Amino acid sequence: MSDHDHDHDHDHSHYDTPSSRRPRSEMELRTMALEAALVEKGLVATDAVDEFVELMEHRMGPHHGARVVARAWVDPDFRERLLADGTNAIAELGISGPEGNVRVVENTPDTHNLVVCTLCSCYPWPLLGLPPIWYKSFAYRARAVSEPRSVLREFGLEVDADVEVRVWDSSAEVRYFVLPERPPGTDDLTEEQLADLVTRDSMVGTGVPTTG
Amino acid sequence: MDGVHDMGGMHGFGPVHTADGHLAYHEPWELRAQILGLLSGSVSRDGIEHLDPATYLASSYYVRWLLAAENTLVRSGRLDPADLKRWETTFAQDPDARPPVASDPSTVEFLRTGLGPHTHGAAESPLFGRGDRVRVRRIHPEHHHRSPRYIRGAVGEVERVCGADPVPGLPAGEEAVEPVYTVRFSSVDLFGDRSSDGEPPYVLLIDLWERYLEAP
Repeated sequence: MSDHDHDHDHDHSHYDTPSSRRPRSEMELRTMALEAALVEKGLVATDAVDEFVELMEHRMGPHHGARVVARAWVDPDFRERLLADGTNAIAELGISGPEGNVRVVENTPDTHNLVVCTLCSCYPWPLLGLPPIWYKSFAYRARAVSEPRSVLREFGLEVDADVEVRVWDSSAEVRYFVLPERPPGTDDLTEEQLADLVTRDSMVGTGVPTTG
Repeated sequence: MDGVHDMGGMHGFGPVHTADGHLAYHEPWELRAQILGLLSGSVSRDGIEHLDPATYLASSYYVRWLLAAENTLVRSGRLDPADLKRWETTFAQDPDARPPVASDPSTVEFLRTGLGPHTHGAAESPLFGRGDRVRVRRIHPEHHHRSPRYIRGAVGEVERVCGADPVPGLPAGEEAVEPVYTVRFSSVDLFGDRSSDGEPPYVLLIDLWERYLEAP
């Protein structure tokens, strides 16, 4: 994906990717037609669409989740509040928004958590932004609940046999977020440096933080 | 409805394609399709679930949003399919053409400041409490619901009472708010013991409205 910066003069940069120098696909044309018809009828406004895109792509995102994890690693009281009431704890860090009713589940030496939404693709947007294509895929939705270790292996993660795997199917209003284990040998890092170790996948359960 | 979207435990989809890494979409228009569906209020889980099964399975995530939006907007009469076709032709014939532009500062402001998380209601008189054994009721509703097939008939344990939330999928005028429970299952009770297949027992937790449950 071209990592374009959102530009505010409404030239529909979303329809101006390098690939649009080829003929557009039917579905791209129908999306443009949908936007045109909706705007023409006064049912949506262009700047509202642009604003929502900006929210999803930039204002919400895993940089927020990483901050939460790093804070939980350095502040045991925050960690307790986070595990007791994720929604209110993340609000302490200024994080809130749609799909942000959050329960945080903690990885330990004995427990590894994995999050999925089998029925659609529910995801904690304010903490992680948009879900990856793989999270929305049929293979993940089908197999995370029935063969989690096999799925984790496809992400390069081998979970020891004596670790309990817990799979959370986000079937109602709660959005699940994994608090990964703090890597060993990180005692001297600052909170900002710790946040840099936290990968997106580690907050869904398909990975672990890097060791820096 | 017990449609193809209810995929937990299905076989046949192959390995998870992890090579795209964190990419959320391949082309920016895909995200825009979803946002158009959200802002026009024309896409619901129910609408996506009601796509023809072959279409559902053959369509990417964002195309499902596009199709559900078109279906709802045309069926409700809010959009004329002839207008959609006219615009599609315009954009197909002129690569420099773009949709018209309109502005709505109050919606922009709302999106900046007014969007918050779902809040639960208090669960008054919940039927079940933490630690209670519960069985997932055998049901077969045609309307939208959130009780997947792979747990039906299984017995689990209430791990948490989440609060009370509007029950999804109910017809207009029949709305209800009910307790929602996080229920914990052993994978052995869902898919059998597959230790010999390299999948030792694990725990599955899922959030279920009270009406999906009964005492075992």
